[in-house]
Amino acid sequence: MRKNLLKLIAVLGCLAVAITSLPFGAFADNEAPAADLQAQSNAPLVLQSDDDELTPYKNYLAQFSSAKQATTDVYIDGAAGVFVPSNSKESTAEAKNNYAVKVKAKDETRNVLDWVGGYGSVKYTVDVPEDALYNFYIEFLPPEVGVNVELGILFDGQTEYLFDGAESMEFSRDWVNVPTVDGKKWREDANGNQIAPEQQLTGELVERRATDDTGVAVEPYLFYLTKGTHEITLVGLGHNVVISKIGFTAPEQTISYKEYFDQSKLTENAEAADIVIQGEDAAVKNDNSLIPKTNNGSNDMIPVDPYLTLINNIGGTSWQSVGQKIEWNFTVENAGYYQFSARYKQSDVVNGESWRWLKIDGKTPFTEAKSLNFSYDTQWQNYVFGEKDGKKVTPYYIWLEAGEHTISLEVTLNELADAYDRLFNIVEAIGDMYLQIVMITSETPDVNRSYELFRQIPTFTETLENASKDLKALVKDIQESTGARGSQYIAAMNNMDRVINQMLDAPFIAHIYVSDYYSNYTTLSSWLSEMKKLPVTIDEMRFTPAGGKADYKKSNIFQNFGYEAVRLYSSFVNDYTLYNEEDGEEALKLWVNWGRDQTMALNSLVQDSFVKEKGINVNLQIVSCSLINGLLANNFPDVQLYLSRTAPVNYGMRGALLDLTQFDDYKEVLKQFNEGADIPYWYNGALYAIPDSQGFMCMFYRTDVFEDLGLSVPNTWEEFLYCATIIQRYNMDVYVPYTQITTATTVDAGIGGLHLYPTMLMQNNLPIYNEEGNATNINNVRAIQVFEEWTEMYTDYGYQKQADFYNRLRNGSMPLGIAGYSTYFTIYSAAPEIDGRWAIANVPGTLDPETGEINRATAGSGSGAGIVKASSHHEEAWEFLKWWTSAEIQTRYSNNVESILGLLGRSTPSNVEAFNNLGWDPADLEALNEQWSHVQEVPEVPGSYYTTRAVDQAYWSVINDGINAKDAINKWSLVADNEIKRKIEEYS
Amino acid sequence: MSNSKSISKLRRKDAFLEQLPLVGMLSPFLIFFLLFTIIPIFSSIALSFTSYDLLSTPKFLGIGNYERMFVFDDVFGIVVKNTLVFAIIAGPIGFLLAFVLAWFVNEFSPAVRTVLSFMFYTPSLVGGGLFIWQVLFSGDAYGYLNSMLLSVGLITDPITWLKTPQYLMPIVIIVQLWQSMGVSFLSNISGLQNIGDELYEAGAIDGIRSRWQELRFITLPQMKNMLLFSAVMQIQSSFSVSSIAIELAGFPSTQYAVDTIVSHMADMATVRFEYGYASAIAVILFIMMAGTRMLIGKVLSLIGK
Repeated sequence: MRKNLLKLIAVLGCLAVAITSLPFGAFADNEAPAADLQAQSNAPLVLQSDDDELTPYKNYLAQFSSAKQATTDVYIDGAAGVFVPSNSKESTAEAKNNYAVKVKAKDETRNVLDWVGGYGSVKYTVDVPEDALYNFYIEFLPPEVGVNVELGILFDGQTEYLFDGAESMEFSRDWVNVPTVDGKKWREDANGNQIAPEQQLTGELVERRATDDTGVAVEPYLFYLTKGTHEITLVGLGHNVVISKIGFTAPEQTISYKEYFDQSKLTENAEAADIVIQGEDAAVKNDNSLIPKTNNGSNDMIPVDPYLTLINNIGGTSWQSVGQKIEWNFTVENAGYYQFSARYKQSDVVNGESWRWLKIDGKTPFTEAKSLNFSYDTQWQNYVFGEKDGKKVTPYYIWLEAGEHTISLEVTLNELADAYDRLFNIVEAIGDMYLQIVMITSETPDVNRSYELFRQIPTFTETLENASKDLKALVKDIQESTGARGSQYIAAMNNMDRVINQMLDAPFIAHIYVSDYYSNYTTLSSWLSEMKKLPVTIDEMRFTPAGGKADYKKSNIFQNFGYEAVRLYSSFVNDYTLYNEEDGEEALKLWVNWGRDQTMALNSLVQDSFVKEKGINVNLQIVSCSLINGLLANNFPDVQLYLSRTAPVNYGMRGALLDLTQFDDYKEVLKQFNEGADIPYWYNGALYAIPDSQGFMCMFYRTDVFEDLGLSVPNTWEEFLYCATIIQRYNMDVYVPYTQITTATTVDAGIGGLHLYPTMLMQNNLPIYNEEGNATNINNVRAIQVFEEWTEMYTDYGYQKQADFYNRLRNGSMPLGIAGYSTYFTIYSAAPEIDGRWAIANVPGTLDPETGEINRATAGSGSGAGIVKASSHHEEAWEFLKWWTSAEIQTRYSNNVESILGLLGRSTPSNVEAFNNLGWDPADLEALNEQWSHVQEVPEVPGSYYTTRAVDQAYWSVINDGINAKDAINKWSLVADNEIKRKIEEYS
Repeated sequence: MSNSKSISKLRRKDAFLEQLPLVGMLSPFLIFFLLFTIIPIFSSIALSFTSYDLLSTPKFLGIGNYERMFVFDDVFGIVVKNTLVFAIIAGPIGFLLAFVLAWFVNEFSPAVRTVLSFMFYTPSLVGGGLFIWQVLFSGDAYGYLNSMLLSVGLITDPITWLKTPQYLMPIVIIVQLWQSMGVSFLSNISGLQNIGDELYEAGAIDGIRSRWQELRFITLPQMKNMLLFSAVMQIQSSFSVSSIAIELAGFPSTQYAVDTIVSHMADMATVRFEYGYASAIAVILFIMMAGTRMLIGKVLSLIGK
């Protein structure tokens, strides 16, 4: 009896377990049908990167390993070129003889080709003297605005580039400091602190050779040419340029230091003084971010002052990219051998070296000078460069004749180049494999499924095995050549190797390692871009005569202590907020809440340009409280810049801001902006601010993923939805922006920049507010339809409501998305590994069924600048506003901040001319301008923040609670209308 | 008789003079308290009868603001409900937590006690550190909670935790409790430290048999003042929950699900420029908090009886 009972219990227990495990089975079942569909639909894809079609430079050069290097040069006049216009883009190239140019401050003439527009191609015929490897040489006048000139080169009528670098050779330009207006060495603020100078082009002819801007090829590119006549085609990439001369030159030959150094000529001269070159006295630089900097952290800096920040060094993290070169001038009195040393700081490449290529008068003295090593230390070092033998260093002696000389130091990868190249290829292969895996498993694979990746992706095993092998070899080589260096990165490579081997060892369950694989891949690709950064900060350099000792300033412990004590005291007495001396009634007061870098840039612009020209004094201060507080306390500025979107109307209708229509020339001023950019700042016929920045959205996409999926860029929303379904079928996503409302965004951005709803309304010719501006227009039938379409993207199509688009675009799991155009800066500067594999396009439009036209209107966002009504300097403030929003000043300000902070410091000016002057790639500039031409602004009414809120609440009630779109909109639009009505009543 | 009168007058004068140095020492605090706490309360009450937007002079409205608050403003009803939910749930729980945790922590040796109390106290200091909760509850598929649930298979789509009303209230309560181990927690610990051992010994002699009895008859009565202080702090913080909600859930939160009286007030003042109405809300909040404080005081005086 008991046995039967036990048996019964056992059977029931098994049944219970079976039944409860069914739901888990059901989950699996839900996935299976989709997978079958997918397996049937398309065969798994093998991703190809763009550069598969072009030979890597390494392979090209390997073909000519036995060829000799040229010994003679050959040049052709720029004017001798024959222009072949492009089919699609406007461009002209005119030959001009005896064109006036400046060379080293002397006036000369050249026969040039003036290439305007930069598209199409120019053909030259050249007579090559011998079979050999040549460098490509060009002498040109770069354009005043925009980025470095890029040209492609083709030979003898071929349409295929010889190697990947030949498709777009980049030529840097020469930059110098803008001279100060008052004759002092550097610009100063009211306290005497020195301010870094702006950079300008020299305006003179620039000579360059084609080099590898990735740094993998350390020497300039070598082109193999046979003896005889050849046709050279320069392919234009959209850059204006005036070509004076092109040519093929003999590559520089260097001798080793042993051969260079002649012991017999060495005469000791211990008494003679050092030749001192201050780092900040750089004459010419080839990048406008190489600006001299201040550092008063140590008493040994020259010059230094405990109370003031003085300019005393150059470099740092802005001098870290391959190819950046700084050149200094110096004079030698007595010819002879000199030791070369520098006082520098390299505290970034931990336990490693930063490399520099030394040239005297444009020539490398000896082979070892190509790789001067600046070793790591947390402190400043005084280092004499020489041959290293363990710990002992025998100094190099450089022969200098008497007279004027130049010395230049250029960032070079040296022995890192090979490691970088190999790692780049490995990371690229791993990244492509990751995308293929994600297309099958999505980013969070179901651990209970057996995807059998090795069957679904034909190249799976092979790619991973090769990657593992390459990683092991690379780790071994790095450890052999550098010893301790690279240990942090060796760990990353070893980890990647481990994960790959885990996946290879367990092929049936390889997918459980996907997230580990991904995190190691991102570590490696971040290190890839970090690896190439070789910063050095130089305070001064010395040429010490043979036998002498470099006489660097070295403070003892008491001097250091004294210096620090005075600095501590100075921190109490220095006024850090005051930038100008001008007190009293006459000065215009200006408050900003920016960082010091931006404020100093603005201040120097104000002093140099506004104060000098208009004679109106300006008092600039960093103040972090709002205008309202200032008005209450009766201590307020006269002008306010970058007022957030809703602020001008809100403050203006309450009488805090001045109506700008009282100035006669306001219409002229408004012409410099995009049409309609001023709409948000009008209320009741009064203009309360003029736009100073404007942003808009555009579409970003991964060109390589699109190519492999066979997609074309969508122009309408239907096409966009179609692209998205294909993308989603491969377990990837699209990004349609939605920004969470916080205090800042509700008041600041205005509704245009938050999400796509206003854009879609505009594309259907539906304004957000009614004609009178006293109620919203979002509850009419067609507007509700648009709202439904918009929310369906999230409910029916399942697009992500929140995502980090920059990261997802970078790793490829969101190959299509719409975001503000300033995302461009982030992707451009912080995602170098996908360089060339992404692009921007216009936001999709709505097809009007009757006219057949696509309406591409897009909503904008931005800020304005206004005048405080209670100020007593209306006229002067208006002059300031006009000056601030002018093209020249907006360009200079943005460039100045960008040279200090990098690309991410670029502003988004609303002045159209200033925008076009900034450093854009021609293709990107065209796309952005195209998008900008469709931008329309949403007007602001009292209580407009409630519209944003109402749309938001309606959106969430539809998404979260599944409420019918009509009901949601009807309810919330009433709320918004009430608020608007109340506000208007209050203020009419 | 006149003698005694003048003697008592003298005594009063002496007493007064004796107290003068004490008043002098308190005066800095008193002045600031008066200027920045007492006077603003009265000016707030005064402003609550006007309509004021900071940039123009106040317009007298009578009881218009209160009328609007109770009759027209439906958001006010929601926020009062939310605030009471916080006060009723998070307040007592926080209060109990502060005491219970202090009691447990008190059991350990001094070294361990220091470490533990540090661990519990620091969340109340890291006001800006709320972003870690934002990452945990991020609506992104890579947010910690979402990715954990997705990889286990419990959900198939990432949930936007901080935008869904039904999840918002529990989340904000949890974060509020996490941050509420503040001054009251520390004062409870110090209060528990101060109960002399001899009381426990005496209690053991008198026949106390269990920890519960010890707690009820010795610990709690000794802690009465501390508990009152702790209760006041907890009430005050639970009524003024707003920065957590704003940081996490947005401003305003979806369907006002976690907006409290304070955030509604902030909204009215800073966003909508209606300082008169905001002052009226502040007055109502003041009355609510003062009333609750008196209630708690009455309840706590019953302890030990």
